[in-house]
Amino acid sequence: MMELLTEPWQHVFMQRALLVAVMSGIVCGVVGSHVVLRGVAFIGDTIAHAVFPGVAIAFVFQANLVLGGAVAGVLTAVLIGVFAQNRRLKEDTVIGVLFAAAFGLGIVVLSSAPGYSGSLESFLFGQILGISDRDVVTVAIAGGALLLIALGLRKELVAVGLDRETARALGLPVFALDLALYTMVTIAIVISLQAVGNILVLALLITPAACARLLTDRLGAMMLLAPAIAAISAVAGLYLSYWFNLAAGGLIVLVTTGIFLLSWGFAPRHGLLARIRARGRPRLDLAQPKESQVTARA
Amino acid sequence: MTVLDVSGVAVRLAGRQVLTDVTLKVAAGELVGLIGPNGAGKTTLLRAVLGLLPLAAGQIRLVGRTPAQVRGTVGYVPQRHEFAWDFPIDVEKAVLAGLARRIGWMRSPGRADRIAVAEALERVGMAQLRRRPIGELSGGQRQRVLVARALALRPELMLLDEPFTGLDNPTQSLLTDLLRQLGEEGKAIVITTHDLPAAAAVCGRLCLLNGVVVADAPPAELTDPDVWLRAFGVGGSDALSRTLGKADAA
Repeated sequence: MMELLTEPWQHVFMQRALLVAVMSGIVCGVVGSHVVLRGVAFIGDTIAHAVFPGVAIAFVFQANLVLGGAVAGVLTAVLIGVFAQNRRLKEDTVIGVLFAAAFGLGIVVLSSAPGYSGSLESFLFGQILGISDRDVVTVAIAGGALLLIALGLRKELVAVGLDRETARALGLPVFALDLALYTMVTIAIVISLQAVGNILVLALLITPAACARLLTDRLGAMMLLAPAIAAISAVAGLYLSYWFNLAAGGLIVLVTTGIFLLSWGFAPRHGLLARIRARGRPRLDLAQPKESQVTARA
Repeated sequence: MTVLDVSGVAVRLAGRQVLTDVTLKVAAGELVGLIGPNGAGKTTLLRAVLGLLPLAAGQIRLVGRTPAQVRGTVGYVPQRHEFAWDFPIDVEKAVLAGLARRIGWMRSPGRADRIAVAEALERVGMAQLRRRPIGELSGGQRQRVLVARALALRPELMLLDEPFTGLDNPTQSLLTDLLRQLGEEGKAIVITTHDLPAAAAVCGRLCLLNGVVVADAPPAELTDPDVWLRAFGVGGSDALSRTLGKADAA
């Protein structure tokens, strides 16, 4: 049994894979918590698509992938803002147009490079077994910096998330903090591309944070649980991939989804079982009028 | 001493003139009710005072300074639905979030901040519930959290947007008592509301707003039905003034 657990560690490629998977999970868990609490999961989806051409161009020209992805992500955000100025188009429509365009551009750019289908596949579905030492170092530095920034801005991000208008009245730079959050999402996505790929990265960002939200009513606990769940999923997914010789990225996402289903069903207060049990006996907060009913009556 | 001095203010939003030539002075210790129908510009006026909107004309001074200069010192209590009540934090941390700017970048709250939060929670009667997740609070408790968040700034001027909407009677009287006390301590307070009886009970002055200031006087002097007709643009002004008269007599 122990051998099953230790054996993967004897391969250098598995050591690198496990390191990058855990680091990606931690970073995505922390940043994803902010994304889930803001209710802007679609931003994660958009950015995941938007960084693709940037990463592809950087790959073709052998430049820094994180930098390429970040530039493309920010550029797309600006373009969305510009096109959404046309009042006949809603913002989600513009997002739909642009992220498909970004993806198309990424594929075209990649197809100009030799070994096209191989590199395309590794971007879309991850290439976690083909990680270099340099990649490990890059992910460690970028991820560490990102965690420090997330910790440093936490108080302000929470204030904006709770109530934008009052945050503005307090004098917090709300727009700049939004941009900071989107930039953090961009970087988290780019450094996780190798672990789970472009299509599945959203799951690493959103699902662990969603599990954590179901499991706790405390922000501090959520910020620890989400990265823990993401990191555990990443390691479990890699082990499963090693043992059964199946795709690692997909397995990582399926493990997080499994944890989500368990949380949804069995979370101590917000799970299905707890809510069914609570229905049986009267509870204080059920006796009190809900905000919407109160407003409707007034 | 005049704390809030709004003179000749006009505000345009998306090409529409929302406020025209609005003049309003609020002195320390005064409670002013801002009354008007939906779309009268009540919230817009509050946002202008907070310095969140550009003025098309006129000026706003808070003890001689512009809204931008005093940013972060006015106690703002937004409408309850503006706040993300599904956030996983407790009452104390929600109030502490109102001090985010004052605490400063990259810093943790200090002793003084925690004392300010504890005092504010004590004043609104929420000290025992300070560890409760905000998602489990009733409407009245939520309103008190928002008031505490504004109080923690120890402001000279407080702006409350529709604080009475949807509150039951005990909570409403708790809030009116608190506002009266704050007035006696010398704070200047502006409340927007649809709730005429509540406004008449707590406010020393009512400012009837409908794009312009229709009237500005103590509740007892606002007996002219024509004034209410102009403010609310409806014929049922008798009922309104009767409500007001009754509340005043009570």
